[in-house]
Amino acid sequence: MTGLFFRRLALGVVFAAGIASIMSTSPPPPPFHFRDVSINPAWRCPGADVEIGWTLSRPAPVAIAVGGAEQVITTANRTTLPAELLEHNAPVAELALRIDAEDADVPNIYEITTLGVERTVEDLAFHEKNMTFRMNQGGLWDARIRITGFEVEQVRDLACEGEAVSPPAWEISPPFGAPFVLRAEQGYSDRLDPPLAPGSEWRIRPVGAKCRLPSSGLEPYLSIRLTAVCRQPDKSS
Amino acid sequence: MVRSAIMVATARPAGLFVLGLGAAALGVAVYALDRPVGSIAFLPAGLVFDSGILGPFGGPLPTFIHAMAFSLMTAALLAPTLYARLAACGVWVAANWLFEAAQHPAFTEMTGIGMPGTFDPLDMVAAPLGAALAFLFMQGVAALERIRT
Repeated sequence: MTGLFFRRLALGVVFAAGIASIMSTSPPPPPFHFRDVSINPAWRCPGADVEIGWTLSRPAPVAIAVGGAEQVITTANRTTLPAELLEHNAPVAELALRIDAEDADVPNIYEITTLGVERTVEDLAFHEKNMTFRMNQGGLWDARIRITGFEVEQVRDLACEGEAVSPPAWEISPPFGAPFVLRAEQGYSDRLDPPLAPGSEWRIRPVGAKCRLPSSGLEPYLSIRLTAVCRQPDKSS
Repeated sequence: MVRSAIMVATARPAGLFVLGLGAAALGVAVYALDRPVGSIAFLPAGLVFDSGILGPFGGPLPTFIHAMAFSLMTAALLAPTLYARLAACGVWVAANWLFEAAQHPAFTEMTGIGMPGTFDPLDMVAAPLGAALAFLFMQGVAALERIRT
């Protein structure tokens, strides 16, 4: 009887594993697809060319369109988009990379943003226990861009003293430069003077009150808005 | 019926099961070698090479191997009869067909249930071919057993 039990159990396990293995797989990608794409910079200042690079699953020509108009078909794995073309499509140029082959994946669509005037560059909303966030991980920034404004828009799932969701102030530690403080009476927003260079990891921590994770166990939710502008190019004497 | 079939199978050798496990490992290897990261949920990214080396065979090959591997493992746990072997193969062809058909747009239209993936008629062919190869293995193993006894 024990042998029968184990054999039935093994049958059940085999059947479950078989169904699970069908469900855990996804279909093959088209024979031609992009392995990776780099856009440098994705956030640009006026006058800057943009370098596009890519690798494919197998060699094929790639057609590049900006603002819906095809610009070039190339078999190389990189190309340069001239500043004039991007300025013509400013402030946000839609870039489409299409593999010019049968059975190719759908075109990859990206945005290249030109900072002619000050504008929002990040509208982040995230759940994070460690209160850190990364600026536009996939984006590369023009070296002339500076963060000029920072606002903590909304906070949820945080329990601070006095049953408040938000503390009296937030201390922000950027990747470069000294920390700064955003106070409740200023709407948790401020202009940054001097402006800061964009970077990857920023830290945010409550100050003026003890805050802890709520009993629900949810990670704190924050939404943050950053504005930026291009620094004037250095004038040579 | 099933109970008696299982009881008869208690004396069955593990050869078919090991063969099935080997085939399943081969199926995982196909994903590791040929497909991009994320194609199979339990395979770590470091073990995925995304070579595309299998070309057009890379699409239906996992279905072929799946139907073969699980038919062999199932048959190893059932009675050594022709009926049980056919049933084992039939169950896995049906399972693969069902999940593949569920990816067809017509299925989504009829049922309102959407399955991830794209319907591929080659997979509908690959499943019975894999089960057929498994059945040939089963018959071969059964013939060897008869010779031994």
